[in-house]
Amino acid sequence: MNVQRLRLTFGRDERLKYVSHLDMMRLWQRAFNRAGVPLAYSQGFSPHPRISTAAPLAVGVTSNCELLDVFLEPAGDPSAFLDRIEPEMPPGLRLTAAAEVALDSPSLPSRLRFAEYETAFAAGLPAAEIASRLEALLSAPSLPRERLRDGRVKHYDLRPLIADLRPRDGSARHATIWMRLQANPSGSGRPEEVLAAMGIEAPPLRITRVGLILDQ
Amino acid sequence: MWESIDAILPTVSKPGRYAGGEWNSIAKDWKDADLKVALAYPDVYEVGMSNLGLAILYDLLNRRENVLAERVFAPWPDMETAMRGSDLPLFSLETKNPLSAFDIVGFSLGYELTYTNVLNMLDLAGIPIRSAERTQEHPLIIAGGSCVLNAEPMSEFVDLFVLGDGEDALDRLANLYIRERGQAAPGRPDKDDFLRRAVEIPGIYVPRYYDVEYHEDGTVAQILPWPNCPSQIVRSIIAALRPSVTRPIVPFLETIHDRAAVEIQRGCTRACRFCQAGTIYRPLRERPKEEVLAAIRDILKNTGYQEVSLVSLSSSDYPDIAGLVGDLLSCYGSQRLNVSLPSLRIDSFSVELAEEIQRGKKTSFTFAPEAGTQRLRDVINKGVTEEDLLRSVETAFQLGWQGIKLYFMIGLPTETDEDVEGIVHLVRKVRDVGKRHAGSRASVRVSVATFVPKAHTPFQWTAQIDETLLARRQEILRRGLRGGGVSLSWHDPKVSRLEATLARGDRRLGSVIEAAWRLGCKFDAWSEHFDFDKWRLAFAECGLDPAFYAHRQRPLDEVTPWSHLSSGLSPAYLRSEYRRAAAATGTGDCRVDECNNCGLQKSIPACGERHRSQLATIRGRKVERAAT
Repeated sequence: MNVQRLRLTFGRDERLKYVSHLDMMRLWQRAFNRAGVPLAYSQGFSPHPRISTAAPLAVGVTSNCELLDVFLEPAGDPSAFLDRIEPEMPPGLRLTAAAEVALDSPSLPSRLRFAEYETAFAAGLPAAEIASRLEALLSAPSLPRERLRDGRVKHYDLRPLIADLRPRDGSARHATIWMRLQANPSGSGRPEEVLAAMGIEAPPLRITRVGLILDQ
Repeated sequence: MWESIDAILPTVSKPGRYAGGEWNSIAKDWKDADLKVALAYPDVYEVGMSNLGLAILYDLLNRRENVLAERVFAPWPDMETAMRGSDLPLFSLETKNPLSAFDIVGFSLGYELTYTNVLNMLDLAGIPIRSAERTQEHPLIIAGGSCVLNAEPMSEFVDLFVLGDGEDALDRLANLYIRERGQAAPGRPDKDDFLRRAVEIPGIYVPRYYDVEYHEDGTVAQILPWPNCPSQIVRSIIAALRPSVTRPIVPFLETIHDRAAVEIQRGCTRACRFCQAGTIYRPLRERPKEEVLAAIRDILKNTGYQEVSLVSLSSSDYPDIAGLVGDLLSCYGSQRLNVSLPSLRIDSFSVELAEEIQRGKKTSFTFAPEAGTQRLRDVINKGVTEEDLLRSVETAFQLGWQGIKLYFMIGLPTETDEDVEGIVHLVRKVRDVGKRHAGSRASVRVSVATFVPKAHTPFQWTAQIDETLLARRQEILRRGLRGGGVSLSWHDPKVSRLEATLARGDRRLGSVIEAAWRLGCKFDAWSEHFDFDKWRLAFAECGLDPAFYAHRQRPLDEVTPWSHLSSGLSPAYLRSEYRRAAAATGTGDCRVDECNNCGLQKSIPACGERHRSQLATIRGRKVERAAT
C-alpha cells in the first residue's frame, strides 16, 4: 500500500460561484482524471474516489480558503501534482497549495469549528448604525429565526451559531461585514441569515468565505 | 449584462444552468467574428446538453476561425419570471450577449412538444415570433433536427430549415453568409438576397418561397414553389461521418446523459415501419473501429469522463461490436471506464454483450418487442420472435439480472384486441421465466406508449388510434396484468395525440401553436407543465380539429403537407412498404439481405453500386436458366 493523502487549498471566484457542492465534487474528479492523477478508490461494492472537502460551499458564495483532501495511489511529489493539475482547472478555480498530511489524521469535516465570511450589501445605513446593530446581535441572549427547508418551516436559534461580527471598511454605497460563524456537524451559520437578523432586507451583493478554522 | 444576471440568479433554481463557463466551452472575441451563431435548444439545459447534434454543430462552427457559436437553452419558468421581471432579454451562456445581437439563431427541433418553447425563447429575446414581422435588424432564425422533415407547422416562425445531416449544409450556409456579408456594406447581408441564394444549397428549405393551396376539406391541394426554388427539397446526406467531437463541453450540472458520447454509426438498415429515425437517417454510415477507439482515447483525456456511450440506432448491428467492447475493456478496464450501449437488439448475443460491460448492480434489462403477437410484429417489420425474446430474457436472468423492462406500443396499424391480449400473454411468459430463475425477486415492468404515426415512414397515412378504442385496449392490459410481479406504466396518451397532430400537421397549425403559447403553453414535454385543455382551446380558437391530423386515415394519393420535403426515399417505396405491412410481409435488412430499392440507390453511390450488382446477379441467373 503506497497511498498518499494530499491537502489542497483552493479558491473559487465569481465565475464558478453557481456550481453546487455536489457538482464541485464531480468537477474535481474530472479534473483529476484529465490530469492523469492516480486517484485511490474506496473499498466495497461501488468504489469511489476518496475526495472530501472541509465544508460544502453554498451556491452563490466565492472563497479563497477552501480545503480538500484527496487520496492518491501511488504516492508522488506534491509540487509535481500541482503542475499536473493546474492546466486542468476551469477558469474561476485557483489551486494555491498542496501538502501531504498523515493518512490517519482526522477528517477535515471532523476538525472544522468555524467558517469566516465577508458579506457585502447595499448599505443605505450609516456606519454607526451598522455597528450598533452588530452589537445588538452579539449581546442578544437568543435570536429565534425560521427558514424554509425542504418546503417546511424550521425554527432555530441563530445566536449560538455566531462567534463574532465586525464591520469592515466599506464605501458609501456598499458595506461589508466580517463574520465568524460556527461550522460543525451540530450546525452551521449562514451569512445571509445574519444579515436578515440585522434587519437588512436586500439580498447580499457578495459573500466570500475568507477563513476555515480547524481545531488544533 | 452579467450584473443584472447575477442579481437574479441567486433567486432561481439551479442557477448553474445559466452561468456558462464549463470546461471546453468556447467564448470567442466578438470583434473577430464574421458570423455569430446562437445554437438554441428549446428545452432546459440538462436536456439540451445531452444532445449530440448540438455538440457536433458547436464544434463544427467554432473550429472556423471567423465564426463563433454560443449556446442558449429554454429558461425554466422560475428563471423566465425573474428575467421578465427585470427586463432581462434571453442571453447566450458563453458571452452573455442577447440573442438579438447574433446574426443567426439556430434551433434544434427534435421533438414536436418543444415547439411552444421556440416561440417563448424568441419572445424572451425580444425577437418577433413570426418571420413576417421580423426585419433586417433581427437575426435570421433557422432550424434543423428530425422534426423539420415536416417543417410545415413551424414554417411561419422560422426563416430557413436545414433538412437532414447538418454538417455540410451548415458549413455551406456559413460560407454563403460570410460571402454575402463581405459584399454588403457594414452590417448584415440583405435577408432576402441571402435566402434567395440559400435555396440553392442542398437540404435548405425556405418556406416563404412556397405557396400552399388547400382543398375545401382542408387537405393540401398543391404546394407551389416560387421561381428558381426547387420543387423538392431533398434532405442533406453526408457521405461519411466527420471526425468525432473530442472536446465536448463538460457540464457542471448533472445532465440527462452525463457522459462522453461517440457516434459509432448513423442510420439503421432494419426497416422497422413505425420508426422515423430508421428512414430519415439512412443510409447507414459506420465509423471504423480504429477511429472509434482513437476518439474515445482523446475524449476521455479531454473531459475526464469515466463513462462513454457508443451512440447509434442499433448498437448490436455495429460490425465487430464485440471486438470494440473487448478492446475498450482491455484498454480502460483498470481505469474504471463505464461503457453504455443504447438500443440493443433482442438476442442472447446482445445480453452477453451487456453482461460484459456491466459494472456494479444488475438492476433491470430493457427490451422493446413493441407488439404482442407475431402477426403484428410482422406488420411493423420488427424482426423479433417470441422465442428470441424469451431466450434473451432467460439469458438475462441466468446472468444475474433481476428485472426486465419491456416496451410496447398500442394503436399500431391493423391492431386488434387479440394483439393486445398477445402483450398480456407475452408478459406473463416473461414473468414465468423470471420466477423460475429469480423467484419472487424477479420483476417485470411494462411500459406502454401510444403509437404516433410519423411523416416519411410507411405509416405516414395511417390514423392514430382514437380515445374510445385506446381506453378499451388499455383496459385489456390493466385487467390482464394485474399484480403478480408485473408493473404497468403508460405514456400519457394526450401527449401522444398532440405529438401525432403536430408531427403530420400543415402550415395552418402555426396559428394553433401561437395560440397555445399565448394561452401559456410551454415545456409541453414536461408532464407538470403539459396542459391539453389549453391546446384544445387553441385548436378551437383557430377553427381546426386535431382529429383531422391525428385520427384520419389518409388516402395513399393525398398530397401530404410535407410532399415537397424529401427524405430521399421514394414515395413508391413507402407505398409498397405500407402494402406489405397490411399483408404482414417482412422486409429484409438491406445490409445482409437484398437492396430494398428505397430510393437512395439513385442518390447514394454505395447504394447504387449495390443495387446494380444485385440487378446484374438476377440477370445473370436468368441467362443461366435460359441456357440450360
